[in-house]
Amino acid sequence: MAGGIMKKLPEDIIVYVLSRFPVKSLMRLKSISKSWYILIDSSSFTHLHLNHINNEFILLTCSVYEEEYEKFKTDMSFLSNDSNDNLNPFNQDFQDCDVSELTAAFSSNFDEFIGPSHGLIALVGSIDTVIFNPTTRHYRVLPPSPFDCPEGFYHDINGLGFGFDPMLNDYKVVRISKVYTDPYKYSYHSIREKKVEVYDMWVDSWRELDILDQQLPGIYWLPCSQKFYKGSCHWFTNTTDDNSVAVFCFDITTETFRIMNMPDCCHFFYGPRYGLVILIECLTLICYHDREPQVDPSEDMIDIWIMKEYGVSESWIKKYTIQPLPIEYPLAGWKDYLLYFQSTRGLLISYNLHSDEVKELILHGFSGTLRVVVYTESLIQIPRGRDHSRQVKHFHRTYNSSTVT
Amino acid sequence: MSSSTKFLTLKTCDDKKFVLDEAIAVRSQTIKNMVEDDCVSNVIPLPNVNSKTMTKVIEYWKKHSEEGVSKDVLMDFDKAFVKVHHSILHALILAANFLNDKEILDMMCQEVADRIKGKTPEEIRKEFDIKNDFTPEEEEEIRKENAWAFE
Repeated sequence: MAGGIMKKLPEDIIVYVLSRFPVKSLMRLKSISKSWYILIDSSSFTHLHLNHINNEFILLTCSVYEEEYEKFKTDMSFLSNDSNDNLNPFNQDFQDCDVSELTAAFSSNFDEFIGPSHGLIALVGSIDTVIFNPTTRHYRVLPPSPFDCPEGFYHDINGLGFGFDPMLNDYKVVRISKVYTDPYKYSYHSIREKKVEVYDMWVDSWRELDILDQQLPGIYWLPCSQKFYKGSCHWFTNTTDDNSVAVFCFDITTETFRIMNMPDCCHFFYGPRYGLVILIECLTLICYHDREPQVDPSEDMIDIWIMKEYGVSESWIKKYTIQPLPIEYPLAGWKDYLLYFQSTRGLLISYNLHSDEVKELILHGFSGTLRVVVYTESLIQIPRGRDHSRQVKHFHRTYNSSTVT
Repeated sequence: MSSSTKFLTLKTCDDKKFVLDEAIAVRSQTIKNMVEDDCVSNVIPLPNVNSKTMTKVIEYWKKHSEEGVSKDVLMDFDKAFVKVHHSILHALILAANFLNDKEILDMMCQEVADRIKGKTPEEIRKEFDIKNDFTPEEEEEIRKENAWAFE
């Protein structure tokens, strides 16, 4: 294009053109001029951009043991996929970054991605919870909840959720925990109470929800089971009456709980394992087995159920049944037809529901620590914390230390 | 129902007249509003659009109003449609903005974004006629802030 052709365009059209750029280009365009910097940084532009851009990427983390420091660190890789559905590193370097706050002396199988919502994700590590935007690489560690247990009690985080509340125009982290009366007897009867806490990102503080009149069921932790979809956080629960499995939901706007039934034939507590993913824009249930292969392979088939009409338990339909795969647990769904799993050998495998093709990707993570999240790129900013020690930082390449912005 | 077909006459800024089926012309929200508000007399003047640009717009409207046209055919048509000289691209954006045709505007803005995506900041400043009002230190600071985007 010859120089200056865009000169005579009205400003609202320039904004319109800019809202079609991927975030990476926009980050560069911030250096064009002060007015462009202010425009790209503004929240109105951020929201316009969110509606125009629909590029999806994959963030993959795994825990890696560093002998030198005798510590486990969380490695992050940013991936995009090509037309052949091969995963490619977004920025050439595969081992992309690590976050010092997510380094721990032990490896936890419970590290989880929560969300995503508008391209933001919460990552819950063994010690800290971090909210981050994988697109802009900005992140912030959440302040600890002030509701500490009294001495002699034991506090166990049971479920976590993260999502956007359009009424408050804020992002929330919800944390459900159990408080035990006696730290040495974790039996069911020693549970004193359940506690629900909500953290509001812009307010930067925690508050406790009043749940006195509600009987909250226990959350049944499974890998790939915490999903934010259609304004609600989802987990699995084992209902107390007949000990079956159901989906437990928390509406992030009304801050109320509800239970959705699973398909009739898959609610057994002792049987297959379950995972939740989003596929074909529907809440999707994966029923799989993690036991030794059976003599009759038909018993090891993996069933994929989609909830056609969200919230309507009768609308579950069995969309696919796939061959037995050597998998540990599901990780994510992508593009309406791809499923990612961690294999029993600790590898990332993808399964194409259209062609039944299985692909393996070699990763050097610690067994059982692979996590995958599919996110839409977004400019959403993470606000500064009130506490100076918890400011917004950005990821750096591996082995660089983080710096405060 | 050809007997009920209504025609509108559009007059561009260079005094050329286009007679068009109303059902096609109302792809422009601006024209649609005029028709609905009943303020269409004989001729609709389009003071911001020239005949060359209007010919392109009508070509697009007609193709997209064809009965039974397949998605693939439209996709190929659109692909070819945006491959125009930058002066026409510029004129089409202004015309689509005036006519309030979101479809054409979206497509053209996407094309501009695609064309300047790979350009350096200096080239983009030239393109939009923008003066760099950052000091070298400030510019360096922004680069550092978003180092990954400059890799």
